[in-house]
Order: sequence, then structure tokens, then C-alpha cells
Amino acid sequence: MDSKKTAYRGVKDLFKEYANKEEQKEFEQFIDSQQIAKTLFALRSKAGKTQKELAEKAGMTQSKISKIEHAFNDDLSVGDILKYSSALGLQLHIGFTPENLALVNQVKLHWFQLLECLDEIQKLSEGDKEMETEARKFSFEAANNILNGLLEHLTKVHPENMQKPALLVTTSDIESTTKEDCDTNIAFN
Amino acid sequence: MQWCIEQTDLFARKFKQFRKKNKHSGLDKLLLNNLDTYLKALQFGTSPQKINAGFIHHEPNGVKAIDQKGSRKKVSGTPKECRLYVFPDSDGKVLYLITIGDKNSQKSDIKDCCSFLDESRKTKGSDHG
Repeated sequence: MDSKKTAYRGVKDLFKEYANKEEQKEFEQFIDSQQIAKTLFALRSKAGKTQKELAEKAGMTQSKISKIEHAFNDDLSVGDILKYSSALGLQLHIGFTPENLALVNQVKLHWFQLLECLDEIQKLSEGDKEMETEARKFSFEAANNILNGLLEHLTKVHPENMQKPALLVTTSDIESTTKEDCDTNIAFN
Repeated sequence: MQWCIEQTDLFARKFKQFRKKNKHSGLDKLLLNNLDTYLKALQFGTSPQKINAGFIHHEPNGVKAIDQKGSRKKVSGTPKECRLYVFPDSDGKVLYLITIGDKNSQKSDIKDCCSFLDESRKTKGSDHG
């Protein structure tokens, strides 16, 4: 009973092997129509909470939680999602992007959002010496993690051109970073 | 690292038969939809033991039986109790689809799952030794 070697990325990918194009399309629409509910279920599972526990915290009944977890996207209300996510200790973010936004543009969008957040942290810390130091440390830590993550990705997709990425900034570098280091931009040169 | 799905030859054969037998019922899609929900929870980094839902039955040796219940999508006729047997391998991040069956074949399906796990362990053992 050997397992086949083909690794499928997901259920849609697997179903392609069994269905014709028309059936595949219908199935994909069905699967996509419950993505929000599936995400909520995944979040509750990750939090290790039962439906009953979540219901108590959200001020809902257990059957309501069950209904939400099996609902189609069209049938869910923002209010219910808010109550559900809040009971899990999560904030709900709603964003709008152009329809059929290409993946490369999604990467760019996230990049700009990330920069905005980092700028915001710097602005908020201005005037408080302790906060300024912490914000500066965080910026370096974030840069370190992002760059290492990107290098790891490049190593995966272009292993022939990449050596194992070296750690660009160590924890002790971050600890010893001064305002002058940031101002003169020496860390990345 | 993302989870992926692998199917056994047994599953591939039985799933084709299942689809043929339950043609137009939509049962195959309901089962796969629940499988998608389960996979999504795994993709969120949740331990397989922590994923609980009405459609997931915890069988011996870490095997999970996923049934068709839950979805509000209408199926033709009275839905039969059918089960898709899977094994989440947390080390390799592979969700193995072992077999598929109904209430009547439950005993032999679980036996097939045990055989699959024994076989996998032997293969892993010989790989390491």
C-alpha cells in the first residue's frame, strides 16, 4: 500500500485529478464560498478553545458558533465575525484591494504597509527617550528578520546562486545600536 | 513549511469507485470540503490533536475520520454516513489520505489504516537504519 509520490498543495489541487474542468470550477467556487468560516474555525482550533468556551466568551450560544463555522461568506455578518474574533482576543482588519490584484502587487502593497507601520512606530516614540530606543531596536530587529526571511526564500528558489544566508545583524548588534548608528545609516552599508 | 496532501493507491482507487457510486449526490464534495477545513486548521500551525469539530472522529493511532456533516450545501437524497480516513504526519507536514468508506466498511477501513501506518513505520525505519 505505497503512497503515491505526488504532493498536492491543497484539496482543489487534488480534485483536479478526478474531475473535469466544469466540475472542478463548481467545486472551487463551493470551497471558496466558505473561506471566512474556515478561517474562523482554524483560529479557534489554534487558540485551543472549544465551541462552548468561545460561545460563553462571545455571549453567543454554542449552536450559533457552529452555524458561523459552517456559514457561507454571503451569510456572515460583520457583527458576528467581530464578536467571534474578539472572543479569541483578535482584532478584525478589513481592507480593500483592486479585484484580481496580482500576487506581485500584493507583495508591493504589504511592503508599503510595513514601511508605514515602522514610520508610525518611530513617530509615536518621538519625545520619549526610552521609547525612542525601543523603537529603534525594534526597527533593527524587524529589518534583520525581514532580510533573513528574504534571503532564506532566495536560497530556496535559487539554491544554485545562493550560499546559506549569514545573519546580518546579531542580537548584540541590536542591543548596542545607538541613535548615531541609525542617523548615519551605517548598519546596512 | 506548508502542509501538503498525499494519497495512497488504495484511496485513489476507492475514491474513484465512491464517486461513481454516489454520482450526482455531491457527497464527494462535502467530504473534500470538510477535508479542506481540516487542512486549513493544520496550515495555521495547530497540532492535529487540538483540532476538534463534529465532522472529525479521532480513531486509534492518530488516524482521523472525516465525515460529510456540517455544510449547508444541499445534496440529493438522504446523505449517507461516509468517512474519509486521514493521517496527519506532523514531522513531514503531510496529510495522508488513506482510504474512504461508509459505516458498513468501518472495521475494514480502520484495519487498512493500521496496515498503512505499519508499512510507513517500516519504511521510515529502514530509511533511518
